[in-house]
Amino acid sequence: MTWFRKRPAPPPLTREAALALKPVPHREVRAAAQPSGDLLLVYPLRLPPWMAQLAQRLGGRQTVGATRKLQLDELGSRTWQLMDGYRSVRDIAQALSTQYRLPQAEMELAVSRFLRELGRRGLIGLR
Amino acid sequence: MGGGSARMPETAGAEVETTIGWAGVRLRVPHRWEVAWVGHDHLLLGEDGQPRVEFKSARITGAFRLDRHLRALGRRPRGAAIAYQTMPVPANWRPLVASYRAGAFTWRSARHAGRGLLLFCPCCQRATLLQFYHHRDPDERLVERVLGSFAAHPAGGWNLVALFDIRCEIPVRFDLGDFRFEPGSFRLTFHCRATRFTFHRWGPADALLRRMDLPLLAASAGLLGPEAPAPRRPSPEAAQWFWQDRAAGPLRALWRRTSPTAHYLKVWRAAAANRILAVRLQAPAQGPEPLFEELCQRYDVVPQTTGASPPDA
Repeated sequence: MTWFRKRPAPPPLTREAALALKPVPHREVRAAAQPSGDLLLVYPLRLPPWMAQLAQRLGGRQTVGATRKLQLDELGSRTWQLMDGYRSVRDIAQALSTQYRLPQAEMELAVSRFLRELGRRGLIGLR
Repeated sequence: MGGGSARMPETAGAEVETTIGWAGVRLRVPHRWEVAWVGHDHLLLGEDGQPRVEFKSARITGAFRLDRHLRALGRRPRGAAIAYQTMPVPANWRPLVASYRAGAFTWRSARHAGRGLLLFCPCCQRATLLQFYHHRDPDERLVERVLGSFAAHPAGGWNLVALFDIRCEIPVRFDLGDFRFEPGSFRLTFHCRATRFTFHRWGPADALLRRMDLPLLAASAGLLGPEAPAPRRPSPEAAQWFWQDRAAGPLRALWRRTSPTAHYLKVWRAAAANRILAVRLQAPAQGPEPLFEELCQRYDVVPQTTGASPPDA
């Protein structure tokens, strides 16, 4: 029985390879500057089709055009501003590390976690 | 977590070195070696994702039989991931560990191999298992240099903790409770009987202090009890508190049976390093102020000279 053979998982990324990835903001995400200087990300709400249908049948709000918001803090805002599709995760971490005088490796970890969270919400892609 | 490696850069010959202190052990290692894993009494240092040296250390109560422990290492239990084989201490290592009782071994796992030492300090009753990872071409002089810097003795009754960018000294009688090294927030707690103190480190200070001042930061970090008074501000860059827990009622007082607990807290900004440091001490109210003052004096952060990779001389 080879029909249901599981496709082998791709090998995990090495730290070097992960840091060389370049984050790209999703084109539908709008970043609005707040009076404090921090950014507010506004992005379209995307429900899985079955959930959207269910919501519609149950008479819920129309989900098309609905948006969600994410308030970034200072470091998050600066990271978002540095994401231009050309800078790698390492470049961004290095720029922040220089600006805020934090250890490079600590900043790499902080940036990686932040990008993972943004990726989980579908706000960025990595190339 | 990962972490930077800006601990007291010192030059040894052509290479920049830093001092690492953890679990009662001090080592001087190349600056490019980073902390790869921190355990309660365990530390692994690596370089570019490759492990370089690892140690486990423990204070021994009672007699310590080095040969028995070495034999136990050599007996490979079924399913053990690492195979150890004892060997005589290499001649070039002997003078470096002369003040310890030492036994040497080679070890091999599925992915790595190397040599190591089991060291026991009879003065401070501390046993340390030190393992070097050998890659294609082991740098024998580097191994000797690292081994030569090994110290498991407290200096003047104080153990050094120097990891990432923080450096603090702890009285020997205190044991590590819990610790957390998260990006932007470090915390280390030590305790001895009813006395407990915690070191905190946050960063970047300028970003944090743009939103709140030091007292608000201390409150948001949960460092202030409900009975904490207004802070004393010895300088605009520091805030200090002292308060005592009063028993809320006769039952609680009976339950505690002891004197009220004294709380000391100091939060200050290390401006040069752009970090915020805090020390919080909790003790039975029997005048632990000198200890608190000394802990604050012995706690510091090593500023980053640059955000880039550590310099190679």
